[in-house]
Amino acid sequence: MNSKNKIIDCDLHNTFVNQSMLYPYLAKDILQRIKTRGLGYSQELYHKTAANKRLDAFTGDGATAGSSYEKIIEDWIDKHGIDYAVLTGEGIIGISSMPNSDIATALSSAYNSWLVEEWLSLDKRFLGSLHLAIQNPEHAVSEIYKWANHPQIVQVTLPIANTLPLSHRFYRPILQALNDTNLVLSLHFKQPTANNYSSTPIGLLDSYFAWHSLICLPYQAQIVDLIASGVFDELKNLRIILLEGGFTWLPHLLWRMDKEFKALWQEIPTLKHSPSEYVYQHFRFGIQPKEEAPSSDYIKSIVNMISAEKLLIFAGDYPHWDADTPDYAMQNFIKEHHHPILYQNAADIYNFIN
Amino acid sequence: MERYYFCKEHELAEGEFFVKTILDRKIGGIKLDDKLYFILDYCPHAGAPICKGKVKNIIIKDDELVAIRCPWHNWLFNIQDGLPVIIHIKQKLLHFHYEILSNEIYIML
Repeated sequence: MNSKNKIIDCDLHNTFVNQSMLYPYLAKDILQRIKTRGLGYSQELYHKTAANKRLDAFTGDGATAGSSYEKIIEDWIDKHGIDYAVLTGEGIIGISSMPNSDIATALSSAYNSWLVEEWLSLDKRFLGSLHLAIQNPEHAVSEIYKWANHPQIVQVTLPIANTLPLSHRFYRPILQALNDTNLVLSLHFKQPTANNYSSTPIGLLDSYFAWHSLICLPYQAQIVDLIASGVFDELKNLRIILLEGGFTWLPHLLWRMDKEFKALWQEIPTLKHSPSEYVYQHFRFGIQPKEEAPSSDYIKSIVNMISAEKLLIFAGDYPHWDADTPDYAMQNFIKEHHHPILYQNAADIYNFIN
Repeated sequence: MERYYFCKEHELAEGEFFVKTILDRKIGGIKLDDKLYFILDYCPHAGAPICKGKVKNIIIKDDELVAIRCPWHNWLFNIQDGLPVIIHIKQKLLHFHYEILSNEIYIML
């Protein structure tokens, strides 16, 4: 590790050694149903050929990668000089797709309690991201208010694509609560499931390769939709971090929205600024997985075109198979941009006082 | 070039990497079909400890080769010649020469 910058990692996937670790946080009747079928949220649709996690992230005693505090510290936090890491959970994001909303909300509460009591308490460097069952906005709001004042809770995580667009009024109480409690909304991708099918506009594709190559699609859609809905004129404090969706497609999207707006502004009369301005005010982008262009100069050009050093934040994605170390990730950026991307942009969005 | 002791001949297991640090370099040794190979334990892609990956038999059409699959991004390299399994990858593994003297293996550095 030779990076001397301060680093905030906005995407570290912690998990439990096995599902029974959530049992103490579940009510008896829910627990009885779960014990026979497992937690029940589906995660993997594709027969993919990549391992889900880095093979060297396992502790060798059968526990899954990301479940050992000591290994995370040794392998990642201390090894790369990470000052703060936001714990974003592993697989639990699937609760928003569960048809049984009572089990989904029970798991949401259980996970959040487990996160606070068994992970955040371990290390002041850990920051926490709550997981919500988006299909029950009332419960989601109560979870937000329950934990928003905890000093280490800084955000919530939701899937990038859900049954309805995020701007839909059905979800508005959740966005309102985030606005009012100052928590950040992070959107993370997950594989398509039965009721959350929206992987591509042309339908469900055949391979994990195809799906993984097109990850950016729902991200672009949420950006445009949220801006066009006028939600940011209503919820001025809402800040959104997009994790794992990439960013090099941003020039096209920013220029396109601004061009369309000049012709079609009457369709979105509430907008006070040009659409691209809302991206700078309300969105940030995790830089993982690293863009691999024929030359890093091309990436630097793209950053230059849209002042992306204001928009990007470091996200490691440990212990997933395509995680990026800080040094490896910084190869795409000029030295002057390392500090904002590795630290300052995240510190600002989380309203760090020191 | 100098000889550096690596291990005893019998310490290398079939199909399994044994990694040792010599002069600050992590080197992985493996026996495949009674032949020995020594590679730098560093994936040329992003620096992963490649010897922690899986040794796999890869079948491409009618050919079969033994490859190491990098534990991070899934890249495959032919252990015998260090070449990437697909032509689109340009990087390759670094090999080391070795000598055996009295049942002891020495790496040439």
